[in-house]
Amino acid sequence: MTTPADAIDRREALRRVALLLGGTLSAPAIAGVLAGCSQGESATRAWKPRAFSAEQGELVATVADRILPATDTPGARDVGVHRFIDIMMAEYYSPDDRRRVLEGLRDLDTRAQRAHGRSFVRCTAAEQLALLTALDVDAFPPAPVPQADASETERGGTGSPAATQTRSEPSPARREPHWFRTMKELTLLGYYTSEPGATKELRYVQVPGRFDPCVPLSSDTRTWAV
Amino acid sequence: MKPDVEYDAIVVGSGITGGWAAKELTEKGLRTLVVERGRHVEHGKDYVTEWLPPWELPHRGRGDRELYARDYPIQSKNYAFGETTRHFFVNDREHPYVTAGDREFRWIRGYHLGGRSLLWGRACWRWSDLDFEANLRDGHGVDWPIRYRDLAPWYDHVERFIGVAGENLGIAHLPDQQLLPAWEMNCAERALKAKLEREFPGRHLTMTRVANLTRDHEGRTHCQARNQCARGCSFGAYFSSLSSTLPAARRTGRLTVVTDAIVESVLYDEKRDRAAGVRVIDVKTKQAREYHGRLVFLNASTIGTAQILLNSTSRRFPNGLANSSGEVGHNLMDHLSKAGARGAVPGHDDEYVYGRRPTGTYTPRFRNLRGPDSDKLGFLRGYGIQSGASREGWERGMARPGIGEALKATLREPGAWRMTMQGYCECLPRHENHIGLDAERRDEWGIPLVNIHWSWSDNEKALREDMKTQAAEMLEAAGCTNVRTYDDDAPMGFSVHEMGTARMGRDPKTSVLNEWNQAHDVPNLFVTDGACMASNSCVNPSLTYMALTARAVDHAVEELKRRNL
Repeated sequence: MTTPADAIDRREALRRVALLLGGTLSAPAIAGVLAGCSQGESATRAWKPRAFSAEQGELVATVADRILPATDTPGARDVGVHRFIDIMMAEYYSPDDRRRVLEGLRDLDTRAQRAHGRSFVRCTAAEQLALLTALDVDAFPPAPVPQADASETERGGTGSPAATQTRSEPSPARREPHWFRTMKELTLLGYYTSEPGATKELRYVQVPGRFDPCVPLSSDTRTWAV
Repeated sequence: MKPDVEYDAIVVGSGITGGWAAKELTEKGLRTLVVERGRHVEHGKDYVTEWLPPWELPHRGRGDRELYARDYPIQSKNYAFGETTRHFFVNDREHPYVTAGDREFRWIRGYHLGGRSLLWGRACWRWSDLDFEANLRDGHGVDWPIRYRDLAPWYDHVERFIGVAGENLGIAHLPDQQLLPAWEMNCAERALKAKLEREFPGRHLTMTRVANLTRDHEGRTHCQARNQCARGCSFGAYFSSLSSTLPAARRTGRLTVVTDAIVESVLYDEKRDRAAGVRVIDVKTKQAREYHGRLVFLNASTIGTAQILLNSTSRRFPNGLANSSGEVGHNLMDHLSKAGARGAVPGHDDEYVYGRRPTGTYTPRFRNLRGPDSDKLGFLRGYGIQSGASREGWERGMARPGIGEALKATLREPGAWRMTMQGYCECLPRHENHIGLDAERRDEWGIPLVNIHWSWSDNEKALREDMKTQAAEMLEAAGCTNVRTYDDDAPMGFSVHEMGTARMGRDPKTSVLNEWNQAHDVPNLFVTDGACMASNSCVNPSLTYMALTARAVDHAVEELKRRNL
């Protein structure tokens, strides 16, 4: 629950952090983080994005909300994930990264126009989900299945010394990630580290006080946010 | 400015060994000055990020990329560096050093009261005679002037004060310790332990012995299982200079602490043939001043201490104080880590944990236990393996396909169990790995920059290859699937276990310090940080530094009483 007093305390806490971090935290960034703390019926109202135009901001909010929609808990739009993405685009990512994501957003609208004759935000929920699912498949192609040769098949069962051969992980290719990967990554980060995401959708205990090494998992056990 | 106070002892540095030197010296009655080059940090009050939940971090932990690239290109590669801990790391741009051929060396530093004791990994293992005899038996470096029996009572002394949680295994090369109850293994680790120890008799999977309290201890509160130690812990639940040794020293009424004062050199009184004190540069005013004392303890960190010695020149010591051997700055070592194996742990789907355990599991050294290359594998010495199992969290969603309600429902539940092993390989002491002072470049306080020369030897590389293979074999034998080795090819410095630049030894011609951490050349000068180490072992070193410090202080104070200093 957020009371005005809490909000003031948080603002103060953030100022102190900002000071500590070299005063790099802008007023809009503080507003954005605070918005992430509150249940955001006003999450898009009076919001001036910095890295995006107002239309792009709405598009980002729509995309984020399709990735993590409201269910029995708030969705990405409710917790202000788009504001967080805007902050990261403005303060964290390089101009090249920003360009890549903006091009991706433009391309998404082009796809929407081509398929449905409307911009993405004007498409139906089902149409939006279909467009994003296609993008998700592009961004996360199925990993190539490693070729299993005879010796490998054999060694699984025998436990022979040959079973000790292991493949080294290939070094990650140094190429730009698909823009939708960036969008999805930021949506997940922004959502699950928000107060509703961490405490309502998942579980967060700031001071556990003890460590229980083996706890049974029941059907309503949530992932730990941290 | 000529100070009118002369201290009984001056301690340079307030990190893990400086704090211990201050505690022991003051408790033995000496008026002691601690000189810290960084800012003051107040235990509790200055842990400014300690209570921030994730949603109050401006970049949710990712930090400021441009700032990191400009000011923290090296520090930001340390595992403990991040949005909540950056203020406990130095600004690389303001505190430069150079490396030969621009070969990356990761010198991780914390310039503030308490130093890296705020940031350390807290693993505490004793050395054994397998370590203390290693140089003698395989001919690398010089023989240690002490053996395990010399240090054992001081390990007891230190462990009783700092509080170490763990289990004793009764194995000769990893001696039993004074321990609080161990942290516990989760379900997956218990199952892996049973299979691993059955498949590899003589090998162990045990809980890391760690300076996080499982019981209230020495006026400090037990660990709250937050696992965010490097932000600072106002419970005092892990050992640091700020939570433990400096408060103890302060209670004696004999401690003085000066911060923002960089020790530029140790003063040497040629007539008396003794160290007379230290010359410091004030960080803010850049003015020089002196402090005088009857004893000088250097605890400025392995590289910092060597830098001070090399910069303390006089007619008698033109190549640096206490450097008649020419070994000051040489024999730099660090553990070769950041390589190992990972795998998935099948099953245990209905088991999870409560709380965030601040440590992991460990496999003690199992190679060459009977001496140099006794396992006939073509390499000397050995390695230990740090490890741990946990269930994947919501982050796994970033790396796989899926969106919408289905994705949200999936990530609401924890993912599969995964086990990671990371080896720590012993490094041989070699003369050519060294630090020197740059002939031209100086920092903004006029002190010559450190110049670091290093390379891994073939022995370290061979250890790493064997370690990766063995880690993978053990994971497979323990039932893991999809086992893969990994190797980040980390540069020296990465493990933050640098040591060796003012080694102990029996012969003043080949070593800097004697068996009491006392400079062969200058009897009232002591070095008890990582610089003193004659070899590297494969276990985390801080506990040994602390035990050596307490032992050295005991000797120094006795000698002072006998008027031998």
